[in-house]
Amino acid sequence: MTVHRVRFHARGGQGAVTAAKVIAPALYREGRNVQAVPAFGVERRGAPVHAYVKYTDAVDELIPTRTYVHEPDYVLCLDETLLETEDVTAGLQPGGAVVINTARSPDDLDVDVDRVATVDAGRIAQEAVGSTIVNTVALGSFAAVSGDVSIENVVEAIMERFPADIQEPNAEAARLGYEQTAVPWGTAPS
Amino acid sequence: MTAEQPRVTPEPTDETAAETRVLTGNEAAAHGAKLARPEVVSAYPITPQSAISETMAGFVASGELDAKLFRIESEHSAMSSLIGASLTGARTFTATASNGLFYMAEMLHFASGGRLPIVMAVANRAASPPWNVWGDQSDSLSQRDSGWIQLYAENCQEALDLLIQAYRIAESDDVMLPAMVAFDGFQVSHISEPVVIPSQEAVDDFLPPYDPEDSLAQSLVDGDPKAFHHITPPEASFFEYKYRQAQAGERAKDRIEEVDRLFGERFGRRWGGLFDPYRVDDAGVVLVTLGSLTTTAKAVADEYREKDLPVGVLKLRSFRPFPEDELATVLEDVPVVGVVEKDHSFGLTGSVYGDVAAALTNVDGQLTQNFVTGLGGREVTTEHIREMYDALLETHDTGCVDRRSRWVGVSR
Amino acid sequence: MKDPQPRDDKLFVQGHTMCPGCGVALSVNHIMDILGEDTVVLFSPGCLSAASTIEDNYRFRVPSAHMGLVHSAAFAAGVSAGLEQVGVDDVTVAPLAGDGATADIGFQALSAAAERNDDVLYFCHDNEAYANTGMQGSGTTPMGAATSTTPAGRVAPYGKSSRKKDLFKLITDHNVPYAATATPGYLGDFKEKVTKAKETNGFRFIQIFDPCPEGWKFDGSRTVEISKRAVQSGMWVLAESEYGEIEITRKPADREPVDEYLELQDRFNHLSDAEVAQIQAAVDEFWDGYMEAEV
Repeated sequence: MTVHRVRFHARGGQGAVTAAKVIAPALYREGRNVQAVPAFGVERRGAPVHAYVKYTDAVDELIPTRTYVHEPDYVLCLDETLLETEDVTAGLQPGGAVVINTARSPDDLDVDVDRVATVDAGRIAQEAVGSTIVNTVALGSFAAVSGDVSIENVVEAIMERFPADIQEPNAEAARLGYEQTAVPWGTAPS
Repeated sequence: MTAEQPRVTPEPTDETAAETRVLTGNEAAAHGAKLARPEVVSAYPITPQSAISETMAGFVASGELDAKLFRIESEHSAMSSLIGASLTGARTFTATASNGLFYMAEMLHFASGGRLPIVMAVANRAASPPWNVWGDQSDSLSQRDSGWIQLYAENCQEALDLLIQAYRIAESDDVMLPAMVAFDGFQVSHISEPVVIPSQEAVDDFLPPYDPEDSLAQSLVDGDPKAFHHITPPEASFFEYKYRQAQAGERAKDRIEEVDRLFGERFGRRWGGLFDPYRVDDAGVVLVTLGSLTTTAKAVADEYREKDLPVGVLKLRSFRPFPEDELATVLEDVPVVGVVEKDHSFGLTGSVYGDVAAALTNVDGQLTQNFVTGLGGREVTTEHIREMYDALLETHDTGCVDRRSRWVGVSR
Repeated sequence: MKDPQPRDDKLFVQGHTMCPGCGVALSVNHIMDILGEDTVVLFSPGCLSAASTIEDNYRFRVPSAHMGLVHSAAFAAGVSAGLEQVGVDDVTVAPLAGDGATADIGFQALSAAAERNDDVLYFCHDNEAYANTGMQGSGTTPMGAATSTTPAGRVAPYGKSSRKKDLFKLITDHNVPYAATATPGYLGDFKEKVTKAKETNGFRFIQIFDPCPEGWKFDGSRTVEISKRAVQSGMWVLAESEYGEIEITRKPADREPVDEYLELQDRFNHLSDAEVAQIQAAVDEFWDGYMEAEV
């Protein structure tokens, strides 16, 4: 039984909880069992927020716990200012990857793990959606980095979950995130 | 009583024409309630169940649910208004947690004494102060004497299924008692996972409309003025009324078993009735669980069995009525029984432990232990469950209990 | 006095054990005559239910239920909603609640039901204390009155120190379709108001001044007199409101001095002249307020 674990780092209002709730049906479509866990806090806009997703390889595999993710395989950091105040790499598993929303390159970031991917999600969100909310871009990045869910399934989940007037822009944001995430170590593990 | 293990992500059958969606526990509960077609809904917002009221309001506003929805001003009034509505013969629904449940405590007794089959979802939450909105089971467990049926769901799917089942159980002619469906606040209410939503047609077929013999509506229509809940002095029939109420509580056990079986036949999912024993038959040590910890306990039990350690899990689903005899029978050959719960009753022990220990009191040489954990939403990990099994195995080996109650996960 | 003949068409029948001269019994008698058969009556714990809704001495001939103390308006709103949902129309849902249940512990439910405009005809039987449990003070106990929890002892205050809560005004301010005050001493006015309320939909509220011989300490044969004196002195205003607009339905030509009302009841017999003057001033202010509020 393999459980893959994802942790989102963001600030309140950046859509981390929504991201977890949208990637979940995408992963289910992919034929996996899935659990999306928001951090249960009293945080407000601007305060650090976490969300978690766990998923398996097949739909009938059990996810035995309902706890937060302390040992992630993937970390998605939606706000690079958090790098100064949080250890986004805490508990990262061997072979795990961190994805950071930044215009900088991995070498310029002070993140001491083997696999760091970057995406200028802020710019993409502005282009595609006309806002600063980067969560759907991040989902595209996740698809690219993990290889565990197709971008088509991510887009379908976005279409299902988002209100009609913002579905297309967010789907586009995800596609662009998928295409434009820099993955320095090459093709994603399957 | 042994369930066929439901698949982790159950596939819908053609018969039930269902769809599978990734839902939170709150959403699943709301869907379950909606499918039961309540006619009057009255709920007050409280973390962690507010999403249930919001989702129900959404269903009513969109026309998916034809119900009167009260923007009610308190939990006490929520239950009061449903008591009034239920008396007319309408099917009713509410949801609450913790402080809200405590606030309506007076009315819980009114509903059960009134023999009104109101159904309520409880997103289990801790009792404050210190102020804490996170999940533990103190709220519903502390209301165990209120006369309500109490059923505990392990995950989002079971929450949905139990909401539908609760109406059928509660409204049975020989029961007519209110029922609460409890599930962990946050650990179930807020977590999203795949859930099968049965079709309305299939649920209508399974759950007929509520049509009680006696009601204010019937009384008006018949031109036969009936008096409900009138003053009943000591020498009048109060004591007899209560006896009949108690008997109904006993009969609820049969209904819980029956409805689980019928639900399984119709929808392809059985959850076990009063309880669900897992690898209990040849166990030397069994951990009794309630709610979502069951999933973790079963995973750890499998791990221990791989190492030839004879452990099992007994998932208690019905806390009220408490299946004393049935529990004693299924556990009679198990030398050591532990109970894990997220509450404490008084001193160091919990409510569930008290009832389990009393039920097993006549089994010779059996040892029991209590584990209190997870209060105020504190995480309960596989490591904690291993600690519990290790303690039970040690008890099994030494033949004596070193500490009757352990608080697992607390820093001293 | 002639023994009243039992009538088959009565919905509140003889045989209850209310105190002789009880204002509530008088009022309920007339209310039930007006409301008729298509009514569900809901009882709040109090004198009325204790004396007329016992298992083997049930005096009501309409479908009914006994409620708790806290929640009359919410319970009634639920009954009203349920009847609508199950398809039984044109029924008056009438909670009969005391002043304690209405002004104090049940105020939350009352205010919310009024704000929501729930379809209920709420009767508040105001005998100015918790009569059934031993005459404890309530929010509608008038200033200066002695009750078991506002006794007149040797230390101030002597009797209740705060003013009577004006329920009629408070509910009027919720903008309900109909609210009124009434008292059995003015039966024509009383009956008109109950009839009007019955024929209106939404949240309707009637606060009835029901003198209590046992609690206020006067002889039960003088109930109607006390009821009239209260109106004539301005201690009780007969008024009604529709959507917040108040009309006084009986204006005494010359308001009588309050001491002529107060001296009829032993619950006021400890009052000094200065205190009576205070009460007079309070009544003058109360009355002026109503004259101003009237449209």
